[in-house]
Parts: sequence; structure tokens; C-alpha cells
Amino acid sequence: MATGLKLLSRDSFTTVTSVSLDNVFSSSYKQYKIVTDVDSGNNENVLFRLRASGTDNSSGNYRRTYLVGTSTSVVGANESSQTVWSGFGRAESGVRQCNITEVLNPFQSTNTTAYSFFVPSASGNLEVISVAYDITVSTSYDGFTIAPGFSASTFSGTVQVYGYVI
Amino acid sequence: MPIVGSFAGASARAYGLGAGVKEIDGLELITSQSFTSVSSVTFDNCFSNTYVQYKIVVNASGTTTAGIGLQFRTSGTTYTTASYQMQSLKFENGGVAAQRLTGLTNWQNSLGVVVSSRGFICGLEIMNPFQTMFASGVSPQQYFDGIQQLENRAFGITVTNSFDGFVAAPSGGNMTGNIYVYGFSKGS
Repeated sequence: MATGLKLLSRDSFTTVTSVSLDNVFSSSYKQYKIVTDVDSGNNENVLFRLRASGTDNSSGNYRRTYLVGTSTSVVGANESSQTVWSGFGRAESGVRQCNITEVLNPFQSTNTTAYSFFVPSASGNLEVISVAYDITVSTSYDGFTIAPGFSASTFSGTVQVYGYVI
Repeated sequence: MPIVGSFAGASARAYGLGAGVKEIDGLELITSQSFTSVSSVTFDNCFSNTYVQYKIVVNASGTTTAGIGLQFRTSGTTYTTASYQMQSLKFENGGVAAQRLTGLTNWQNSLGVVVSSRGFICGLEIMNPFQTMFASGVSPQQYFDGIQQLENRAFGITVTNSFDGFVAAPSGGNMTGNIYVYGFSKGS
């Protein structure tokens, strides 16, 4: 029986401001799972940008909808005209938080979509965040860049990319 | 051709797969158990340094509606100290509610809610249970306890113990079915 999920890439890094992966998306797959196992000196969402031929798409065409559960409080919002997808996992000090993050059709010339469920615990208080993403352009992307938050901080850990066999 | 790359330094770096890199299996079935009318199911030696992230799939029914909790184990001993945490987002009846529980003795409902007459879907993923870090988990789940429920539950624990297994137990009654433990491969 053939496997249904392939490990395409695994990279480890130490105290870097960002990590870019090229040539990881292709026509061989449509849906990808990305596992970020990272920590940072700060408590920040991991940021994600799509990338083509070695260049990040930093235009303001990223969108997301999110819901955050904090104790008994629920907060949500729609965001458009963003230059990045925020919440592709979490980089925190001394904690590597679990995330379930998947991306659909980054290489195909259609609008890429994604979702992420992850666990922030800033200040020791557990939260849960659900995020849906899309982008308003139908560019073909072969890679991505991740970074820890908007500040000039660094992060360390690993990023693993899997493709669902089609 | 290595599949694993590495970076070090304070500046941004780029890395990509080279031509000819052979992809390897990404999800591996570590172990599974079938069980009939039991109050708990124990898995030992399923977590290791071979994996960082795991997925646990439950296919079961119960004698009563009950959430299935998870307690970690080390060297055959269940960790029962009140240091488990849970934060939920629950969608029901057109509304959304949130709840945080701390000082728990297990990850409540992390493996879904077993009912007597139908199945449920739960996709708990756990990060770093074996590594001496704070283990955490995320569990999107669907179940029916009179009305349809959709939940996303996040889990944490306040200790950095190395756990090699777990026990799954419904909060009441017995359960019958299967539990599968998968690991997401790290490669060579």
C-alpha cells in the first residue's frame, strides 16, 4: 500500500530572523502540511509569506479570518490587504507549541488557501486560535518564508513540509 | 542526497530541496490497539526521539456519552499530577463559547467524546511529548451529544517531563473500538 503523505523537506535552524524554503511546492502535490517546531526569545505568531523563484510575495494581498479563545472570551476578526499570513504556528520563549497547519494549491495557478489551529500560551495562560487564510492573486508559488513576528527577533527550531499524495 | 538542511546565524537564510532529493514516507503508524468494553487503554513506548509531532485517531463507541481524556505515562507509570491545562472554542447552536481549565489531572476530551449510537471525529496532534519540553496539543473535533458540536481544543502541561506513552480513558462507562498512534516522520 502506498503512503499517502510524503516528507518533502526538513530544515533546522538556530537564531535566525527568517527561513525561506524554495522549490518545495510543485505540481506533484496540491495540499501540504507544515509543522513548525520553534521557539523564540519573544512570544509571537509565526509569519508566513508565499515565495516564487526566490522572491517573497510581500504585496498586500493576504487575507485571514481568525477566532481566539482566551479563558471565556472569544475574539475574532477578518483582515484583508495584509502583507503576510500571521499564525502559522507560534514562537514562544522556552515553549514549542503544537500547530496543525495546511496549505492548498500554492503551486497551482489558483488562489492559495490555508488554515491553522495552534496553541499560544503567552504569560502561561493557554489560548486556542483557529485561522483561515487566502490570497487574492492566483500566482504559482514554489516556496515560502517564515519569520517570528513583526519585530526583528530571531527563532530556532525545525520546519517540516509534507505533501499529500494525489 | 540529504533531505535535512540546517541554518545558523542571525541573518535570514534560504534553503531549498536540490534536484533528485527522494521524498520519504511522511506519516508512520507507530502502534494501534483494538479493545472491547474497557474503561481505559494504555500505550507505552509509543513516543520517542524519532518523532516531534504525533496524530492520534480514535474510532470508538461507548456505553454512555463521555469525553475521552489523555494522561501521559513514563516508564509504565501514569502521570496524574494536576498540571494539565485545556482551552476550548466550542461552536454549537449558532454560537461560540470558550473555556479554560487549569490544574487538571488529564487532557479532558482531547481524544473526543464517545457516544453510544454513532461515531465522532477527533484529530488530536501532540508536539514534543518525549522531548524534555512542555508538551502541547491541538484537537479539532466533531461529536453529537444531542446536538451537533464542533470544537477546537488546545492543551498544555506545566512540566517538562519526558513521556513515552499515554492512557486514554472515558470519563464514564466503557468503550469499544480502536486507537491508532501515528508519527510525522522527521527523515534521516
